[in-house]
Amino acid sequence: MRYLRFFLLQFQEVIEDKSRIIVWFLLATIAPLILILFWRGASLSNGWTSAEITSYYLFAIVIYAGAMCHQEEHVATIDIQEGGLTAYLLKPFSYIRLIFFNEISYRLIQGSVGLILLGLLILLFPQLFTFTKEIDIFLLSCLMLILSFSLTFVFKMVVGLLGFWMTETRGAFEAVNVLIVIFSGTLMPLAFLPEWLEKIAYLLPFAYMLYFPVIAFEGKLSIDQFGPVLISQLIWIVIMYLLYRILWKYGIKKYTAVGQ
Amino acid sequence: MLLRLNLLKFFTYRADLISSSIAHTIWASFTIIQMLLLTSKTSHVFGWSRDELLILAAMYNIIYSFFYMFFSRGFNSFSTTIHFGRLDGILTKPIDSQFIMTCLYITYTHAIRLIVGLSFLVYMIMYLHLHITPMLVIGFIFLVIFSVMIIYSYWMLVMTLTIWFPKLSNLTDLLYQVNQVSKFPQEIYRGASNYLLFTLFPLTIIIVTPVKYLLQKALLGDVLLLVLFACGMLLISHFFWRYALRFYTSASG
Repeated sequence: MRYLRFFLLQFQEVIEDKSRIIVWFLLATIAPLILILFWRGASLSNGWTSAEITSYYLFAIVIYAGAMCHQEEHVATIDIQEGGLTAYLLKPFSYIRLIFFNEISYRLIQGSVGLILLGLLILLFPQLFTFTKEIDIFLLSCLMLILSFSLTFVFKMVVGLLGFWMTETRGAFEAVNVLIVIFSGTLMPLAFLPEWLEKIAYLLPFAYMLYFPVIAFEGKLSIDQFGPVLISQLIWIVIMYLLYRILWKYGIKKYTAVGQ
Repeated sequence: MLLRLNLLKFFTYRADLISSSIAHTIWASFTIIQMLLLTSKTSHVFGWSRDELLILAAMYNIIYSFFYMFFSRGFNSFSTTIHFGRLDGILTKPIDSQFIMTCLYITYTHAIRLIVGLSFLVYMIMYLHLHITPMLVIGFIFLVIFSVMIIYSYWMLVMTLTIWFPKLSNLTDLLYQVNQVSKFPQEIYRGASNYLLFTLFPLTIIIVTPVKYLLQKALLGDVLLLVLFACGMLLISHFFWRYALRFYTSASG
């Protein structure tokens, strides 16, 4: 019950920022929309139709908005470097839970905006979309989406904790962003990558953050293929969480707050 | 003097210098890697070959490096300068306010973008055995200047709106994203809505025209269009700024 109350408090705080959240969402739609136009002029021989590419990017916009967390900069700069962490350490809640409820509020709002937009587009231009119509695949895709949110959350916490050791984190964060853009399928479906790069992408955690949930909702994953993907997501979540615990344990010893 | 002051600042914050350099190297390389990946399984896009698209990516780095180096930092602080009423002090100075607002800070680390773009362009020129004459280089430099003028004017026109809406601090983030429009051939926007085409048109010619010129495929009309747009937009953006200043109410207003 206290967690529900805590979530509602965080949600209230986040919703005050709603106009900026909508602008952030709109910003994230520009690149995928340009890429949809780009692929119209490309001759592809990998079996993807124009409708599949269009729905891939539109689903990617919604899933990116609803599952891709962005707390790492706040954790590293405001909390660790500027000393904001001190206030959290004194509260009777764990730091990761506080950040989790804050982030889930952002994702719910941005995801809802994306969902409304996607729903409208599906109603207006159904011929542009391919999506699963089987209820069991849809439910499994929703589960995959929840795991994808959990994975990006713990991964971004790990990235944020680098602030304990680095005074300037911008370069590292940009490198992480580029890796996510290429290997998560934000730039293009992983099936469009050169084969050797596609193989590497499946070994990294990023594909489980965006690519698999997108193709799952598109109906491109058969029911048998869900098991290995869900298990991989769980394994990556456990690895990232353990890494977070280790970094937190050693990082907190290095933390020095500034104040009077 | 301005160059020296900025150079001193550049060397004072060394951690920021290293961090920014890494970030700019990553994004400059990403622009080229992105095009390499997008064209890895297709040979032509809207009549543009893979090599031509790669030259487009290199040119994107070159042209935007100049803009980011000389103007982006000024534009980044544009809305806060207006929102907190710091424009008052600027308006009392005997220098053009538009100049102070946009040209005061130089971010030298963006030179990395230029180095990456230029190196890749030279490599592509050698790889494609393009015949480059000194006249072509001079013409190309002029086109780059006109392209930067268009980007500057475009940003100025949009950022001037913060005089009326000073809380729109993320307008610059929007512009950084919109810049991506110029990374791709003009032809991809055919069939998009007229409104979209009208608002984005200047950005669709700034990279494409110098590339066509370098490949010796540009028509006189293409070059003239770029020059006319650059001069026209620079004038309009300046008059729009002067007009908007009449509505500036200061922080205490």
